[in-house]
Amino acid sequence: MDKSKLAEKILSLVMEPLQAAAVVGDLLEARPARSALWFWTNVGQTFCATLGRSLARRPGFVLGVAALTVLREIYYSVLLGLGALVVLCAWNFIATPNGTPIGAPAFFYYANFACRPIAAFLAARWMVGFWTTGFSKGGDLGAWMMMILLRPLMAYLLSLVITRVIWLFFHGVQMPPFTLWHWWSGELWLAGLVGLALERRRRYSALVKN
Amino acid sequence: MTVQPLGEFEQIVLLTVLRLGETAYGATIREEIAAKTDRDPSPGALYTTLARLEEKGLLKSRMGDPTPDRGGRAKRFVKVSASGLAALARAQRAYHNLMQGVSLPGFSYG
Repeated sequence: MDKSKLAEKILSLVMEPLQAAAVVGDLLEARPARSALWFWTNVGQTFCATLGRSLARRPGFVLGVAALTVLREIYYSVLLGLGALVVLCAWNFIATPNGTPIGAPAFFYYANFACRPIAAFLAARWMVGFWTTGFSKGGDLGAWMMMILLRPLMAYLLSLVITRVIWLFFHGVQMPPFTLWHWWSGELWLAGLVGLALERRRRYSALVKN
Repeated sequence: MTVQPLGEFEQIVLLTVLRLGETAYGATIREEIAAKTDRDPSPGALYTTLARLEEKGLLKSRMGDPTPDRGGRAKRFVKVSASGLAALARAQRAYHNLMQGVSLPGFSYG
């Protein structure tokens, strides 16, 4: 990929695509007299300054959207987990009528983990869609980063509720504890990146058409 | 509504845009600031300041036509709005008032 296109894509994460193109154009204009290092340093500096500004401008709003998105992720996760539970219970009943079926809670445990990437992707798409439909100019990455920061806290609260209350009540044993790996498994990063890329492309195409 | 006073760099940017007139956009503004003030502003600082001034309604922007020397990218031209002129005049008046009766070596306030 052309370096200037890459720079434009990076800056498009924190500002309007047309604005990002104008900034890269300005840097290219000055570049003949400067080095590639100068170009990339300035791209990085502009990215950080714009991101910092978008976070500082409306921190409450960014935090609110991030929190809503985490809740949305939990909602999708539970919904998909329950769906998977029904399917797997049916499969368990049909496929192993004479065997020793795996208990439903274990199914839910595994189904939950299987569904988390999908739930995270849906939540990330929702958040990016929310931000790119006129609520923010280039603030979506800020909200997304805030969501990542909020996630460990939400996961911890969930693990407290699920592990310590429900599981103990029904089984008297403790579920495997949430570890740092579960919190930062990276699925949300991946989902968020894909979501951002898709939304940005859609939005840029709409701008160019208009 | 309280009018926020302009910061030093905001004033520099507004004055530079005024000086450049129709040719004011990111690259030319940076060059002009570097030439007239002996400081080389980082693009990050400049673009966030331009965005802030535009949000405050002190600057207006429009997209130009794409040019080949910029890889087919358009320039984003800016110009000072009426409220921008008023804010700048207010800030300069404050400087002027403060400078009354003060003498600085090698400098006279016009």
